[in-house]
Amino acid sequence: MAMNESQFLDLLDAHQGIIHKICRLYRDSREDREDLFQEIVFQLWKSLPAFQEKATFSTWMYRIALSTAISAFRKQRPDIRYTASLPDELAESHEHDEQRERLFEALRKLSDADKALITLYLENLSYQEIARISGISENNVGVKLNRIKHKIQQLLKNG
Amino acid sequence: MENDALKSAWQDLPTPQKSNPELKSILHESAHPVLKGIRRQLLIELVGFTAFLLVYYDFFDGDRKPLYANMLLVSAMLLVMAHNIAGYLLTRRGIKGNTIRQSLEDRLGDMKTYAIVSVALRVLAAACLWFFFMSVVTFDAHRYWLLAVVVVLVLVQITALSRIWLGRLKRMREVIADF
Repeated sequence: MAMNESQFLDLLDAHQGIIHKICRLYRDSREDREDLFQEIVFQLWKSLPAFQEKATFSTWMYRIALSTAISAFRKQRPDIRYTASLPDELAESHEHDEQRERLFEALRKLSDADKALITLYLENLSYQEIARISGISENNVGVKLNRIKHKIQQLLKNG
Repeated sequence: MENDALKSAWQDLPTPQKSNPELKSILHESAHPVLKGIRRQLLIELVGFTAFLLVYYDFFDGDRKPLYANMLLVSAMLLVMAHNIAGYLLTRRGIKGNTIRQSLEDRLGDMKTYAIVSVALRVLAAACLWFFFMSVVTFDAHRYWLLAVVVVLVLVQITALSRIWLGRLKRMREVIADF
């Protein structure tokens, strides 16, 4: 049975955290993140008729959200980066948050494809699910993830 | 940071929370940030071009110019608008494919088509303007120099546009190859 707008909004509400994380990973400024969030929500709604309930909502959502984040045009803006010292993030200044900020900085340095794969891994998806969403073989997922994790460890060590 | 620590740091990341009405307000095409910009640009161009054509017809004796010259001028403006409409249609197109890789390949195909359409429409619009001026202006040495400057500027613009598209296509091919 086709999902109506209200059901879609409820599911979106429950899963919006991951969309915000993807926006934060793929865009540097708050304005660009907000634009990307709107673009992803628009694409999810537009692609909903093609959603087959053989897949879970979240699996389908990861595919649309990550494809949109990678392929949407970035607006030409001055390269102003929001760092940990900005007012909206000052509240998160204790040690735990510092560790999370360091992780995010390392993730942002990865290529677009690597960001997509590591996002799916960090979301606790199995290699089989990651392969199904990304379109690469399960073996290749394992190889690539090992390389990406190694790269992150290096970035964290050097950062 | 160990793998489990990585996962828990990721999962504990605080994220903003939009309310249900806020989410509803951004669901539709009218709220789309890029589409909104293109619509605004189309409206401005439509108003601007209409105003120009009215002024041109009344103040610059458009009615005394040959019909084909007027048609060329209108065609040039319609081509510029067609370019924006093509961009609008590309942006509003939904994500296709069953995997991220397929979606990106599909998007690359769309981008290639739009890149060709984009550059071709600019060239055609410039050609229409060129023939229009050639047909209605009597040239002397000074005007030929002016025309040469305009031609160079148009060529620079078309070259820059082509390079922007080649860069975008290259970037997308690299992302696909990286999967």
